[in-house]
Amino acid sequence: MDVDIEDILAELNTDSTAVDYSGNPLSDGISTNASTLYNNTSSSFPIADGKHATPSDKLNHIRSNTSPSISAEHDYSSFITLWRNERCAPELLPYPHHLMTRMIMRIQDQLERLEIISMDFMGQSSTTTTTTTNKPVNNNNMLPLLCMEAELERIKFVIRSYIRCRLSKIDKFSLYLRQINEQREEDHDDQDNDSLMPLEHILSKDEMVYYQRHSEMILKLFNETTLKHLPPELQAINDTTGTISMIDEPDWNKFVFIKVTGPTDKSFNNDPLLRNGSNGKYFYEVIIPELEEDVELFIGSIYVMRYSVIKNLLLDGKVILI
Amino acid sequence: MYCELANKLVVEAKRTEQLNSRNNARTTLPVHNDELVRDILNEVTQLKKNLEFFKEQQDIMSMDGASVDSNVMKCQYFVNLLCLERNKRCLLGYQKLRSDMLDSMAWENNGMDVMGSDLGEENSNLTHQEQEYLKKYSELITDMKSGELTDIDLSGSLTPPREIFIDVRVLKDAGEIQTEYGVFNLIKDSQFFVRQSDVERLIQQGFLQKI
Repeated sequence: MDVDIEDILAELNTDSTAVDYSGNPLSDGISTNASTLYNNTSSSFPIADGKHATPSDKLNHIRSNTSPSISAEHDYSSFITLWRNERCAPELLPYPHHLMTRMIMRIQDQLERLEIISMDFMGQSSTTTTTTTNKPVNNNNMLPLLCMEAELERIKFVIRSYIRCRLSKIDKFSLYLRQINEQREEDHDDQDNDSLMPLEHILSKDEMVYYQRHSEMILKLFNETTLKHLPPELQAINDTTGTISMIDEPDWNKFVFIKVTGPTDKSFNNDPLLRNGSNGKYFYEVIIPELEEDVELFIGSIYVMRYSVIKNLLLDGKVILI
Repeated sequence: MYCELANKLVVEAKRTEQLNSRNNARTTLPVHNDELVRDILNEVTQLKKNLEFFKEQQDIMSMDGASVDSNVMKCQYFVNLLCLERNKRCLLGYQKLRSDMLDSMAWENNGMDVMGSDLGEENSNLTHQEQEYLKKYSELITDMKSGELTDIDLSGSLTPPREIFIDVRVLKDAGEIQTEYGVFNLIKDSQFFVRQSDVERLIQQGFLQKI
């Protein structure tokens, strides 16, 4: 007779690490402030589960102890996901403040370390009598140094590409962003305007500065070259009353390739959106509004979808763009 | 016809775009078509006058109580207004294309060792407003780089790094240029085996050729 003792084994496993987790102040603080979408959750796992705040989910989270700790590796992989999403999505996605500060901190650290090690190395190669023998670079081996350098270059490239992509989107949607900001200021009393995230969440500080200064500049250029000469009623740059709206909105209906990854903590039972199919596979059900058609998105498969349909799933980190 | 000149302007803009998309090496901006723009602006003032005239006429008509012609008047007014809008669209589109190209110029030329030498041969093609804009935008980019992201060279190359060390050949320059990571004596037609990150800028500037 078979007795399935996997649960018991799992419990035993968690027992041994329980001290570790409870003693970790970082992961604790994160699970409490993971209430808002995308941005705050990004402190623990950037694009990852926004639905994390539901109590049952959280409970399970603590019980099963699957909470991903903040590791450099994890940050990197989630940053790659973010980068990919940003490059494929038609709109500007929220900025991962916490993740980014951590990445930049690490890069600075690593740069310093690299410098120190290479200094050591230089010193050793010139005066071979240096006494520090506990460094691994002792044996004139350049390989780790080269690897570290290459790694840094790669990470820097990804970040550079990410930021440049965002900047180009900011340029493209500057009027639209301004409109969002103004709308928010107008109906400030409404608490539940989820669709309108504050600009501080979407943009980083530097991007904010860039956005403001650049839109100012470009407005000045347009004013001086053309708008000044036009009749006053046509001088607005964000005119929506004319035949064609001058505000470029993101193309919400753009087709994107998605891969359905499912909830990040792999606890399929706790995701309220997840359904169980007839063949035992889990899927999300989304509705395409124009066609009024239901689509079942099975976990692990790839689809071409309209962006507006999967936007919420994307922000919750349940699908990724490819 | 109305807006014919504006159409010409847009066609020209399109040609510029195509030229630049084909040779992806460097964006070169043609001369700002001042004459055409001025002509269009003249047309705009003409249209504006027409509009005012129609408005007056309409007022007079309504005084007289002749309601039959007012629809025709409205139509005339509307057509004129549409022409104005169309002119505006074309003018702004032209300007936007130019400013976008200026942006890309600023990005690809920026972060070079010699920042001040933006004043290339293209600069004579720009109107002085555009020159001012370009200068300001370059300033903005420099500020962006000195912000939080100091260690990430934003204007650096957007092609992913492959190896750390590469072979480069010196294309045109002689003399010692690089002083950041030690001095290289760059003599024309000589080859070097150097770290990629050191020479990235020189490649962007066109001094070196990657092999």
